[in-house]
Amino acid sequence: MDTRFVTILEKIRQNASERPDRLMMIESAGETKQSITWGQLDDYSDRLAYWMDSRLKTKTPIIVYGHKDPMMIVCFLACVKSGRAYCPIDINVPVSRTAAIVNEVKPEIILTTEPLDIQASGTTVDKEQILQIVSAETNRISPEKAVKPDDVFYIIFTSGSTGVPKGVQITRDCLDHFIQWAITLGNGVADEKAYVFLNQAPFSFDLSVMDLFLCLYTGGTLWALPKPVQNDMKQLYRSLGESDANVWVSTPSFADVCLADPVFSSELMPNLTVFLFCGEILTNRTVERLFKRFPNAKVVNTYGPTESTCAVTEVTVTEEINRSVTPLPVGRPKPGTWIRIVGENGQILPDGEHGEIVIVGDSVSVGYWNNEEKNKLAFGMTTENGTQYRFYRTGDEGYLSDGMLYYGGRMDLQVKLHGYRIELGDIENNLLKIDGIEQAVVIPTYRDGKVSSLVAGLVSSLPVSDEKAEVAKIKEALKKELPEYMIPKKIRFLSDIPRTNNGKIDRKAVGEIL
Amino acid sequence: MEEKLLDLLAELCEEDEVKNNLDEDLFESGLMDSLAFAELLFAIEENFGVIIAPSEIQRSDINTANKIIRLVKERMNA
Repeated sequence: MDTRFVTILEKIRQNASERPDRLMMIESAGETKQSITWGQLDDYSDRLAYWMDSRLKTKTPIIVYGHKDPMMIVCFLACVKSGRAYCPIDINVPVSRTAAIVNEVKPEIILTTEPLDIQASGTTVDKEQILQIVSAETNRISPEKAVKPDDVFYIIFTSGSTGVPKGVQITRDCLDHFIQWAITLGNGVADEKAYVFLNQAPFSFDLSVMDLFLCLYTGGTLWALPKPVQNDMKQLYRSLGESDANVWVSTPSFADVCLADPVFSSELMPNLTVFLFCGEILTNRTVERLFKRFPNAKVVNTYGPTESTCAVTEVTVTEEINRSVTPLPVGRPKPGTWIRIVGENGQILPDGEHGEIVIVGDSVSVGYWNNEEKNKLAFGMTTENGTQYRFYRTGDEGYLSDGMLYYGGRMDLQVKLHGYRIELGDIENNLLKIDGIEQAVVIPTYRDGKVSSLVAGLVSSLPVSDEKAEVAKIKEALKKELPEYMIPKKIRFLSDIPRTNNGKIDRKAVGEIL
Repeated sequence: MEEKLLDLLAELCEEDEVKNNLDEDLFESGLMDSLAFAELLFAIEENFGVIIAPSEIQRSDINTANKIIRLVKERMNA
């Protein structure tokens, strides 16, 4: 790493001591707002870290459950300052899935900023208690207690094909390597400008790492849009205008939703300088609309799975690129990352040939939490430039052209729906848990080359008299197990599911029926 | 015009049944999400030259096929 680079935890302390009264985060919930200053963030997290470290017996990661409350960031920092990884879970994750993650991690405590009714191991410390601790605890954590470069900083759980989520472990080094590059995106987000960063994604979705850590590193202000504001267009535009944000971070889908109203333009957000996109395919159409509405803002496309810390490639999409290249490229790798396109026999393919995208470099995860079997399949060590680096097999298909990466889709049954990463097997396995369902298959529907929704085909052992009522019942049952975005839009009952000669589900044939 | 609008709706909702249930609440039934709704407004602008801004209407003014048809007609005649 560049020796002049100040690491994330040092930088947060510097920012807080230089500008303690500046707001670090604002949760924009309509008329009422919750906010926290830089000074409070540093102070509260120091005290909470001390409190935890003096009580907890192990270094087991700590689960932080909630939504967009500024105290979430206090909790994240308190964990890492005490030498423990944090594992964020958003309120869109149902209780049973939260319990499954708790069961995997087995934390000593769960910090919550929203109500969580859970029967699981680990003591819950709720927001009221946290507020009490940060005001009553007189001691502060000593800086030597913080996570070391090779320690895990956060664990983000993502959909697993078996129906059990997988925890991606990101070390402090991975995060620092990511930040060192991410602050150069667009026009660069230098700290003296003290930008306002927009936060759309939930903290359990690693897209949020982009806005949260750019903001923390550069001493800016995070403007968070909670779910009720995102779901109400009037409130949404009012909040966007009020934010006066400089840096936009979201999925392309969220920008599409905002573009629905002519009010979404540089008149509403005159100081917006850059759109940073990640999480799904960015279409030429979206970019074209953004150029019209925001003639002075840059549009940056990035690519990267959770397993390599948010993003590893970037390209600034110019009018020229947008006019001449379809689909848009996803960019060139950051320093310290190499992209290999690998063929079926493991050979590295030359420029222009399609194969699996393998990411090598200094921001690749140390592996899934407690999952040796999956780790052996997906991760490994290799040499680049005479140095040993971890690599990750993405399961994404793509090709390189003059060092520029182009994404071509998935090689397995993972899909991205509105930016959310979903294993179809995860939904199928949860459908099979429901009484009477004997076989289940879920397939994606596409519009404009992007997944627009999911359809499930089911074989039931029970007679289905009222199909509509039955579908509603199944959706209700599924909502207890899976986040809202994983519930199939349409459910159809079939007498049988077509299979290939070797007994596998014939997804192409299913697609034709559904 | 109505037919074209219903075709658009059926395509965006991925369900031909919407053509037969003109008073069904498209949001409540899960047929339309905010992204499909945004796409619908773009399609209405492209096809009929009518701009409907989400910030100037209530969702309850435009949550069924019949209400959408009525609103587009009103705007076209305005």
